[in-house]
Amino acid sequence: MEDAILIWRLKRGDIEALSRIYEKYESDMLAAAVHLLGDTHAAKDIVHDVFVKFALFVHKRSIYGSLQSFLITSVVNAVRDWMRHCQRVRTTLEDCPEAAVADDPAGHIIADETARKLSEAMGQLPYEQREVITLHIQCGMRFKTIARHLAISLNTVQSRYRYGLQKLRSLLNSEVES
Amino acid sequence: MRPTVKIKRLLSQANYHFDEATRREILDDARQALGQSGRESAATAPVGWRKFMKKTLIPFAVAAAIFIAAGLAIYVTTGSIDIATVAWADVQKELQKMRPHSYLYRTQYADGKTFSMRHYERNSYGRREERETGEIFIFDFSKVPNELLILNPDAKKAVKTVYTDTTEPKHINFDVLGFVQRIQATDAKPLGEKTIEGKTTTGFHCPDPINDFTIWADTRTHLPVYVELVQPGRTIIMSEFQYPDNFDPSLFSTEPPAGYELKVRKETLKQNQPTVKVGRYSCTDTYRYPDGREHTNRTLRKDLSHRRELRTNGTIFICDLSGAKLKTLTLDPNTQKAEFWEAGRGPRQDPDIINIALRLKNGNEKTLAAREINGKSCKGFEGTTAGGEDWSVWVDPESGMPVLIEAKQQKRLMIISDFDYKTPLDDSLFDVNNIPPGYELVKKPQQ
Repeated sequence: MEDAILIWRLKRGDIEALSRIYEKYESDMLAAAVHLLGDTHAAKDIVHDVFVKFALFVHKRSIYGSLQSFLITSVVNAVRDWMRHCQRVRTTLEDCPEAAVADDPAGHIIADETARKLSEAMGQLPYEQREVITLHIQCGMRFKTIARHLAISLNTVQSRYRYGLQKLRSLLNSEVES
Repeated sequence: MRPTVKIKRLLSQANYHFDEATRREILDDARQALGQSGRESAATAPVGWRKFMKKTLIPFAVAAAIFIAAGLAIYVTTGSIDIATVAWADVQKELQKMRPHSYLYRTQYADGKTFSMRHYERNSYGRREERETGEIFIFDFSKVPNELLILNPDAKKAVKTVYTDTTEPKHINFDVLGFVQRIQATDAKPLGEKTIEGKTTTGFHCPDPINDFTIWADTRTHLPVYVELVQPGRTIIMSEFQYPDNFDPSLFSTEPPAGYELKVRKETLKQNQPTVKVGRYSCTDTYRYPDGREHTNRTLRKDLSHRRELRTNGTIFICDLSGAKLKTLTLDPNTQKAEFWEAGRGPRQDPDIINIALRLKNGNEKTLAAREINGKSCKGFEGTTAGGEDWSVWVDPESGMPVLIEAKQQKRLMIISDFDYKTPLDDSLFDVNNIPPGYELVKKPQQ
């Protein structure tokens, strides 16, 4: 209910509502981007881009479902576009931002110990598995919806999720067993 | 608790946040974007209309009237709502079957720049791009390791990049048609019929603030004939579609044709490649053209989105690519005019020259003779960038940072020298709103 009110206020140009939405979902958006990319600099750019576009187009869009889900899905879509873009244009110097850089200890993102370990473990999964896990767990999307969203079969979604979690479990053995 | 549940809990509890400066930067940009958006302010909405709409039954009556009017309009233009929806479903059904296809891809940017290429897609793992520059890019990500071949038919040169860290085939294609396939029938507004490229087509408009699609599909085959995608700052047009049963496999071969000089380079696809954090610096950029022309700028860089150029003709050019709108300011000391220009194609970044240069040292590079630069004997190496350009780089023996870069680009030689990583550069140097006293402000038309 709070989100609906925030959106309503935001559509009327309420800057406080914008700040509140940002504070509320910053961690979720960032977690999704970091888990998918394993690259904090690119994750920062993605979250920046998604949130600015959200502010720019909020008055034109109808947001169905939860705002959290909407923002995280936007992050997932932006990551996919970014990766496609990088694969597509990384071949030309003029186009390629070459923005992807390694983890920078003095960078922009502050993560707790759990987040750091998770990010490392997620980084070892294939991208497709990371995407499904992020959409299902962080976005709360059903497998059926994910299948439609990614234009793949339900079985593929479920197997990516299952294999991804299995691998995560083995990578995070000590965290999970404790 | 089951391990899976624990992982789920860990994932949902992981706490990330930005530092204060980044948070402020994002919120400032978002606030600015909100200000630019065409929001409807309750305060400015007509009072009479609001009072009218507060009556209990009026909103329902208005909605019903709009619905009936829309239905009539659709009926008049396309026959019936039902027929249009079925036709969209037919288009989607055809798109679900992945088939080889090719199309002419054109991009028109808001600032007038254009890009075009012929795009061939064999499957989701491989494609061929024949670019307007004459270069041909062939991606074969069905093989392991994944490969990319760039052919330059004019120079008869070929650069093959082998992505050594790839262990499985990868889906790489742009997938505009896949995107179209996911558009819900209810979002596709029928546009009626039109003849395009000699075919009778049915049109659909799928409005969206970020990816606004207009698709004209062949009425007979239900396959796209013309696709227009409007994104903020650019319009992409796909036309002249061909759907052959199959392409000649040689079109997608990553072995160069006979007579080409081949260079093979190795690279990793993984995004987090080793890199250095580059602070503010200045350098001299010289561009030499085959016809003898030469341009030299002294460039000051704050980061990849902010630069200031002192040009040979005396003008100063300041560029801010960090916001949703790209902003530039050109100061001409001779005429005392300050020309401001902005266009909505941001945010963007300049190529990270320093890291591109240092990444050439990937095991494929060749060592060059040391050069005496700034009184130091600097080691040099030579390598090929991902774009197939040959770069020679000399680095400082102590800091390891580049002190001279020579890049053989397609139509010019780029020389970057006189690097200064130490002199402090103030923020005000990169402020496009910082117009010196006495200058007359001229605003170029916004794009």
